[in-house]
Amino acid sequence: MSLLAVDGVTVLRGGRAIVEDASANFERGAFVAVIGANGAGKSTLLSVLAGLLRPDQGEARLDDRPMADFDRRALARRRAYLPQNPRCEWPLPVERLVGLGLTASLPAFGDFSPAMRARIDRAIHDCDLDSHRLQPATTLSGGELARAMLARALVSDPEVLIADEPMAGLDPRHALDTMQRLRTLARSGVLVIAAVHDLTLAARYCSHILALRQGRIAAHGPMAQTLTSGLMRDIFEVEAMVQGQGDAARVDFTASPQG
Amino acid sequence: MTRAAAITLIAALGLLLLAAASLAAGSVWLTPSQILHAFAADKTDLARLIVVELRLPRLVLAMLIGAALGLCGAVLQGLLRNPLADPALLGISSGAALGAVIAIYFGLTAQFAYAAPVLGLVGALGAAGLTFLFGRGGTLSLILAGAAVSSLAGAGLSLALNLAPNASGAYEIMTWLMGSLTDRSWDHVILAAPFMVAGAAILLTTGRSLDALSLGETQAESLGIDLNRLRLLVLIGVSLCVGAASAVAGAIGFVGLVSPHLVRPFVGHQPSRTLLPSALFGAALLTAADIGSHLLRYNGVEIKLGVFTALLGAPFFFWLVVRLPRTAP
Amino acid sequence: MRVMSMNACTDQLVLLLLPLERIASVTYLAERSAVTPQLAAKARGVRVNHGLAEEMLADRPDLVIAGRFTTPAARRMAQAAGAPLLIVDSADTFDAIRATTRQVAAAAGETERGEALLQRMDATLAALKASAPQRRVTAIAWDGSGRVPGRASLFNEILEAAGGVNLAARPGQFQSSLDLEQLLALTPQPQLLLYGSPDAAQPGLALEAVRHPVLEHAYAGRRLAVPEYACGTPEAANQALALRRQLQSAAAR
Repeated sequence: MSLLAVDGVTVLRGGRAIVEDASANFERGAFVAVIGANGAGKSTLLSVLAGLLRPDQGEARLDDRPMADFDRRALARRRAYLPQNPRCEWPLPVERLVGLGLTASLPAFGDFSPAMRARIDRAIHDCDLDSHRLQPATTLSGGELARAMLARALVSDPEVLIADEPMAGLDPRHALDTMQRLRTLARSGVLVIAAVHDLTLAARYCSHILALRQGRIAAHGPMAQTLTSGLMRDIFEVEAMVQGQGDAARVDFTASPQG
Repeated sequence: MTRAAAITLIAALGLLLLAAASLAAGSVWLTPSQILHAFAADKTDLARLIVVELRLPRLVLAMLIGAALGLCGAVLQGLLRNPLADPALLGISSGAALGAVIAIYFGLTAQFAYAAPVLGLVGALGAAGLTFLFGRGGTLSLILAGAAVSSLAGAGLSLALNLAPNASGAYEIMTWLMGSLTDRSWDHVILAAPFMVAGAAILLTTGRSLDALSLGETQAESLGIDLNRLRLLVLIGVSLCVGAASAVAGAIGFVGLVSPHLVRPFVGHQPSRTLLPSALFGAALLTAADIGSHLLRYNGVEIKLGVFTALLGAPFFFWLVVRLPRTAP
Repeated sequence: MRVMSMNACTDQLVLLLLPLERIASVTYLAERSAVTPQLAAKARGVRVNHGLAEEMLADRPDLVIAGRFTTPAARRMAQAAGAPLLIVDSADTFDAIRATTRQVAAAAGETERGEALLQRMDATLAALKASAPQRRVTAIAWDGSGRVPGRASLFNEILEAAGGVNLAARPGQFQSSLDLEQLLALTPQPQLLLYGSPDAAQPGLALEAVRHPVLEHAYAGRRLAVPEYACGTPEAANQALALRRQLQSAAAR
């Protein structure tokens, strides 16, 4: 039994299928890169996987139970979701921002329990934010904010983490750093599904790949077997060279087939 | 003691002092001992009539309405993540005033005493619904929608007073648009308090959701927040508070705008933690404005409460407008 | 000669002085502000205007009578229509009533009727003075709006003629507004609290203030509703006579 699955999922918008007949299973400990051209339906599929969007046809399942059957809070305790370019609208101190990840576990009134505080401390420490604990989130740099958001997502010890382009807007060092953290997380048993634009990074860090082409799943499988030049040509309509494996992997685009 | 607890305590203490000052402030001078003895005095005693029947209900209304508006401001700013959100700026107060004016000037209150707060509530719901509906495109569109709804309600207010059998309507429209607590009685407290208490109770439950909304709507939803339910709760809570407040005191501006900003830096900007201190500050602000309207007189004529809240709020609003481009996204 | 009145108070003078067929129009407020029921009935039989310049062309008057605050546009239109325009001030005293009545009567060619009205007024006033009570009842007019008629008011003039004393008109006591607190703390306390404004009877803020429970305590049995004295006309003497009767029966309670 898979931890997370989509089965025949179709999402329509304005009569057009954004995601069409998508079926896939995801296992614990996998780090899945969702790739595809702009508008291929990556964000929409991730929203369905996160249980935030109910598909027009088909369903998403967590532990073989339809997503729609889950209570919002119960679902929030099991999976974390990071949208593209997450922002903090108020200058909250970092530790408060991270604490927001525990919202679904908190009672309506009252403060964090000692156990929750310990989890916040650990998440802050794990994301190297110790020196920024009390800093207002709105004054963090891009990389720091990305780490703070990641800490916010991890503080609830989710079984599933779904991240929509977690490296958007990050410089190479912070992008590498984020991928490193997500891989470590996956290796600890969490299912991580992330939309990734940088294919070289995806090839180096992710265990699986899911390729979308015009809303349909074009390929889904372990990285080494699935990521091929042919797939790249199919997905992005450009010539691509896939070289090496693991930490030495590289994906280079050369030119479009039309010239 | 944390800064949040300290600011709450300071606001509460300040409110107590202001409350004492408010009982002493009035157009008739009473000594402190007269005021103290008023509570035990005979029912027809002058000091008792003034303190217990006039000043006390006025003070209670000022505190209740100020607290309700401060709370509404904090919740609206949290929900809309917009530092300019305020029941008056969003047109909710005008809508409520329109409902209340219809109830009062067409004699509905004579048949059913709760007609004013109930119609105030309906007016507030309508106005808030319109503003929320048309103001979804960010800070600017929200403020514009609020201005449009305000002027619509203002026009409705003029029309209602125009058609009302009462000839002084044109003069009294000022009172409704500016807000006033003059000559209120315990009847008004009994009329408005249940609505405001119910509204405040609803609003106070939204703290956690407002916190989560600091991360934006998608993240809040992913954290288990039901946004539609939250919006509905805020709409109902704010309308209960503002509808009842406007039914007895007209549209009081700026209290809801200013209070949350005053407390936010002291509570680490966390929306849930601004709610209670903002309510306390709102109560203190309105009580202070009410004292001001008692003490400062021009040629023996009382200066309206709304003048004071505007004098207090307008410069603050300008400051926000100047500062906003730097803080807003 | 047909006369058009563009002010609620000149309406009353025109209705008192002129026969129906010589009135071109009165304002739409004429019936509501009528000083006697007879005048209200008479006003119902007359064309109504809304103080608009255009109506002047439709009504084709030979004389336009307006108040001090008639719009400049209406004045210009009167000139353009070729009708003479008579500006009449509001009358707050019996002397002013005599002056404005004579002014309107002369312009409308009803001097005799005007003098007859004034003679009746003066006779009534003389009778009131002759039968003035030994102890004058003190009163204050408070209609919930906070505005209190003081010395320079028609209310004051009529109350004095009726044999009452307006506490708000006593030297040193003059105040144009009183809130509830000041009303409760007035020394000496007025014997009667009069509600003179029709607004105080209509739903609104004023009515809420008039019904304030604290007044029930402090002025229980001492409140009296009187007509509003908005326009000074020769009828003011009869109004004073009616008020005298009201005061007497209230004092007898």
